[in-house]
Amino acid sequence: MLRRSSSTSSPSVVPLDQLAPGSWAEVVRVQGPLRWRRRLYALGFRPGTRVYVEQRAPLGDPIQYWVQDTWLALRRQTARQIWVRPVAPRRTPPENGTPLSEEV
Amino acid sequence: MMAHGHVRPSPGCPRCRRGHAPWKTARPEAVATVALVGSPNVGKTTLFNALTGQHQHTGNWPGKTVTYHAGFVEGVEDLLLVDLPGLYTLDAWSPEERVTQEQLALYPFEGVVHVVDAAHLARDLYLLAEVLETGLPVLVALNMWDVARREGVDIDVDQMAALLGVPVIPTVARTEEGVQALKAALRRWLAGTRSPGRPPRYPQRVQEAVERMQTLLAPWLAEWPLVRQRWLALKLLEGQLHLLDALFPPEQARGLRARVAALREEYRRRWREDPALVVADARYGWAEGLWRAVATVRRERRFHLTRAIDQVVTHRWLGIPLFFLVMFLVFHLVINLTDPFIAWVEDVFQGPIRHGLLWGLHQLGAPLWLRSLVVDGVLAGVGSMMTFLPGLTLLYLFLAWLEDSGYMARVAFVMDRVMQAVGLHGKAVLPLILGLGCNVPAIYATRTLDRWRDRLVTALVIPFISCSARLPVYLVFGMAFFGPSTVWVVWGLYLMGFLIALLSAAGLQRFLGAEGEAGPFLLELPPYHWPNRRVIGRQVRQQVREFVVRAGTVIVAISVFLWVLMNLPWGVEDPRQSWFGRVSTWLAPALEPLGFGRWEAAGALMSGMVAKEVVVSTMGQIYLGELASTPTRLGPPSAEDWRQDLQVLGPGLWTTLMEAGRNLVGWRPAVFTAAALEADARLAVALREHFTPAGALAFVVFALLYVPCMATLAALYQEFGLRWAALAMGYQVSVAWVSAWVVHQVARVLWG
Ligand SMILES: Nc1nc2c(ncn2[C@@H]2O[C@H](COP(=O)(O)OP(=O)(O)OP(=O)(O)O)[C@@H](O)[C@H]2O)c(=O)[nH]1
Ligand SMILES: [Mg+2]
Repeated sequence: MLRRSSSTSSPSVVPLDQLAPGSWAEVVRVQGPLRWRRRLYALGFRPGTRVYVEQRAPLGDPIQYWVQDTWLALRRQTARQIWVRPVAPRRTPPENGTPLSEEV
Repeated sequence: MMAHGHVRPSPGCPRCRRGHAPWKTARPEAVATVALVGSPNVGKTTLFNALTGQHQHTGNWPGKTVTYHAGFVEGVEDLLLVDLPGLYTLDAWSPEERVTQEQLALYPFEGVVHVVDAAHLARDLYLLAEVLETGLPVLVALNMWDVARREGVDIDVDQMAALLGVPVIPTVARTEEGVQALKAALRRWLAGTRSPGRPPRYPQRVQEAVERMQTLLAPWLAEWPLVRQRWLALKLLEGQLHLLDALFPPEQARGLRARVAALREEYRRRWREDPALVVADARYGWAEGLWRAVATVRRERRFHLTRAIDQVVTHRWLGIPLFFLVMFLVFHLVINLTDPFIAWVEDVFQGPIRHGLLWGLHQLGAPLWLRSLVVDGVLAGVGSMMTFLPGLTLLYLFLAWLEDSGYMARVAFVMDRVMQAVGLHGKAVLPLILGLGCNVPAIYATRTLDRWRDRLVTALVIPFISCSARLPVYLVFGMAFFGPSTVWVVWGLYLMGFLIALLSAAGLQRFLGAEGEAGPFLLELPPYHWPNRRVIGRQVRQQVREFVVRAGTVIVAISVFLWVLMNLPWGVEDPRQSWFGRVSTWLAPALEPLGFGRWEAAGALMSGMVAKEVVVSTMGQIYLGELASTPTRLGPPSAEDWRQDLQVLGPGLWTTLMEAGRNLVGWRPAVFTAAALEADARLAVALREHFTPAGALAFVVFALLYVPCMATLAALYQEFGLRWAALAMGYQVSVAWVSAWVVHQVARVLWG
């Protein structure tokens, strides 16, 4: 659940807002002032945790994520501060209504 | 009775920064004070209500409670429970979090009830780690137990209690399941069996730094118990330096701040890391270990329904139209269902109640002026407030339902982009749209915004949104001057209102900018649930009561004030000679540059503060001389009057109900019901005599933008205090004046 990983440097690290809906990623680092970072950490955006990109809002912003068992929407401007490494889902993204989880 | 009954820096109220703990001074008889803490939206307030029998506001929306409530636990009389705002972590990130953190630091609570969301336990464990660190005795309420069960999250309660070293009690605050067990645990607690629990451990280097910090602080905290000293040392090492300001007098805080900062800096240089992040890491590690040890998740059907609903509600193409459809339905229902009742309530106040009062006053031999004051001043105010009630109640009901179900969060998600453009939060959309119906509930609807600042800005611009009461003014003037082009004038006015509201919002945000804690935009989309009848009932009852008491007072006061102006000097015949006329005459020159500098116009606008549609009736009274203050009206009611009253109360009510029923099924373009108002031909002629077309246009623009009505002012006052209400009024009048002036100038040039 609260999985963490050690390696952080990889060429494919991108800001979270770049990911297409339907993809999984692992958080590598969070930028911004300490207060921001701790806030985002607390909600699950911290190195090592996995994030699923659910969808963009109809007008493109904000974007809805699934992290640490909750749905959370971030504005692009905030999501840009979160650097992630795309990961291949262990399982194809969930069908509508099936459990949403990268483990199992 | 408590070991640390009196800490040195006296406990303080973080709002006023004075040295007192408000709930304690209010309730000196309390034996023990216990704080209720937890993340936003975990059900703290619901649990608080269940434990104390109070009716505080709850909603399926994080950040509902922004200040604290205190109450005695039913059945555990000497235990005072304090409901604090929700917070994700114990850093003071937002003002609400500050309240909680500083209260925990300042006030010697005898214990903490930490409410966690059992269905999202993993997320709440970090905060639990921090709460355990405070060294206060902790009791964990595993709330939302029903949701956890439903979603296949199994938690080994005994194991958890054993690992934490504190009692853990599953609860369902909504149905009050487990509340008795919680009370029993609180009682055992009071009897003296309280343990502080086992917080996480940090790496050696952090431990050492904490100890050094503690040594540094020791001389100032001599009377604090050691665990509390240690906690403060830890928080300061984490960089929560504002705690110093809360705890110490300014010069002392300044001195300490430098030394604390130096210690922190030293650590950072030596270990090349921020202690705050190391500590956070240790907590996450601890949380993860705990989660592994106590929870198993059978992920069946998890969020099945929520996701399915969201697929439609936040759909790319459907999301926005659906929102407008929902809004339209709410309007349709609120306006059409309550429209007949408004007329009926008016009839009841003008009929039976008025007559009853007059009869009573007559029996008492009250003088005429007193009778007039009672029925035309006080009763008129109460009556005008009561006409708001049916609509408001229904609207509150719908809003509470939408809010508790979780839909409001989706509205914010879908519409956020639009609001972002003017610096507002996505959740501001709803109040703005509601303003089209009536500004009063719209202002109350800003309560769903998390940040005070966003609420304020939204509420300040709502009065520019053209509410349905302004339509009659546009129509009467439109019909008199612009004939068929009235439609365009009306549309133009609505558009103008919206534009000015949005521009004002952007401007205000910039103007107030300094404070701008523009943190990350976060919006939690909680799982949907079927709203609970009791929760909604409670909320609606409370909101209605608040409106009646607080807004009602202001409305009655203004109404009496206007009565005084209109009726003094006593016995005045010509309205122009009354104080009202004199004030209007005195104000009129200020309106001269706008093209309608006449006392009649000023007077109509002034009385329009009661409610905008009154502008029209006042003009009728003044221009057509219908100001009928015949003294017979104040005499004892006749038999005929009583007969009519019976008619109102019996068959009248029946027809009203029938009509509401018909409106519910039948179709009527809701917002334009006021259009049914027949433009009075005689009034049109009189208006054409007294206004130029350019002046008329300027007049309606002014009517659109100046103070909406006394109920709106009352709402602003209730929500934001006198200062902001007064400022809002000044701002509105200025904007109205400038806009009307511009329109007048342009129109004059265009029309020659
Ligand atoms: N299913 C379920 N719902 C609950 C339970 N407790 C509370 N709720 C609902 O959760 C929502 C949030 O409750 P609140 O009491 O307002 O939450 P809070 O923790 O005070 O929230 P903030 O004041 O924002 O920190 C409401 O819709 C409640 O009806 C519970 O045990 N089970
Ligand atoms: Mg609350």
